[in-house]
Amino acid sequence: MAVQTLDQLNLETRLILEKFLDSVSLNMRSSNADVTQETVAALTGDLLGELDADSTPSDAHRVLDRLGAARSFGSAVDQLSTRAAGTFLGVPYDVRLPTAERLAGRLWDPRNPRVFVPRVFGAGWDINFGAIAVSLRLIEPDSEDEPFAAVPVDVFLKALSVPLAMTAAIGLSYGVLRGELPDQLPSHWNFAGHPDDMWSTTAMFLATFGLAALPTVWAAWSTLKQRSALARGATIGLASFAASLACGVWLLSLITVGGGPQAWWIPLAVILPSFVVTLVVFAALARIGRSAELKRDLEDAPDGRDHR
Amino acid sequence: MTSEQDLWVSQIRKGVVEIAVLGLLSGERMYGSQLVEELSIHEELAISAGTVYPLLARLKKGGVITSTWAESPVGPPRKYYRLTAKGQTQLTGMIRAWGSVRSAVDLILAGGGN
Repeated sequence: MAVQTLDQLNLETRLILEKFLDSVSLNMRSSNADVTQETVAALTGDLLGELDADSTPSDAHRVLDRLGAARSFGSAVDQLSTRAAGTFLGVPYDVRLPTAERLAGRLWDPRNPRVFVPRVFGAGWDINFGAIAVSLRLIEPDSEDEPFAAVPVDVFLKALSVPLAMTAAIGLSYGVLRGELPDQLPSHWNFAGHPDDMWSTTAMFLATFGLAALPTVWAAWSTLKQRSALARGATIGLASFAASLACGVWLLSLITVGGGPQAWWIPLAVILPSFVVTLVVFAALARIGRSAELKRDLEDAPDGRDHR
Repeated sequence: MTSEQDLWVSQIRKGVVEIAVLGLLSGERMYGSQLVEELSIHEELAISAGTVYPLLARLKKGGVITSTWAESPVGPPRKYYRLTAKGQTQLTGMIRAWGSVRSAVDLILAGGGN
């Protein structure tokens, strides 16, 4: 007899499936709850379609084994992870855990003329800074064979100092101003630039410092662990964006706390520079990579022989 | 044209873009924007920079073409592309295949027209 719900299976078979499904949802903790729920529901449906009320535990194992070549829960989750990326109502989403390489492919892809690209993590779009750099003629689409591949290691370390310095600036300013700051700081602003929500000063500091520090640590790890040049460049670019955004928000919070200047353009003036900083970091790395390639080809082969 | 026809045409274009790029590079070395310009002369191919540059990267990775920075007679240094020996062989094979596919289709269409 065909079954529609897990309850209709015999107890032992049901327990095996439930254990498997729990493990799948645990392994999908990186995804958002809706996707996990949807995936598990779809998977449950598929599994029930293969079983009936008389199915034995060995039937359940047979069905589960078929799910993954490696016969492991992990591979089953991998199979399902394609559901974790797609479009919903025309808006792209991707809830797979971001990797530095995937991040790099979106944030810096000068060969792709599209400025808005599907977001690496979450719903919506990310900015392809590579397309902006090309349209501003800072670089050519094919300036570098592989993004950042020709960039010397010490340049990455110098670039890393950008988000590092901004993270340090937040920490230092908090250390210095701590005694003079009120208990609460503005944490949100309306379109007119007026603060409309307050957080405790400690929470506001931790939030902005964390926003700057976490991506910076990721970038430092990618750089020091000798990950691919692409991974290094992308994580440094992302860290520069997050750290300058955090700096901007922290600064905005400090200047608007005492009722300071309030105008619609102030939040914008604080956030826009973070895009500029990111573009400058990416474009500078790419220009340095371009120069290194140029030097290699023109100096090593002055008569224009091909570099192979 | 219906959307199905559009889809068919865009599939055809996708298939021929590679032979068009290799064909241009078989004559002389060219830089990226020069290739884009040469291709854009042929409106029916509708090949844009967004197609050409990723394709060049893929062909280079596959060892079909090679690139090098070189001084340009006018303007700044450019990254020039040219066919490798492997690319030359590949293009010869593609031209042969293209010719036989075209003849076969022409034959069918000529017969259908009678």
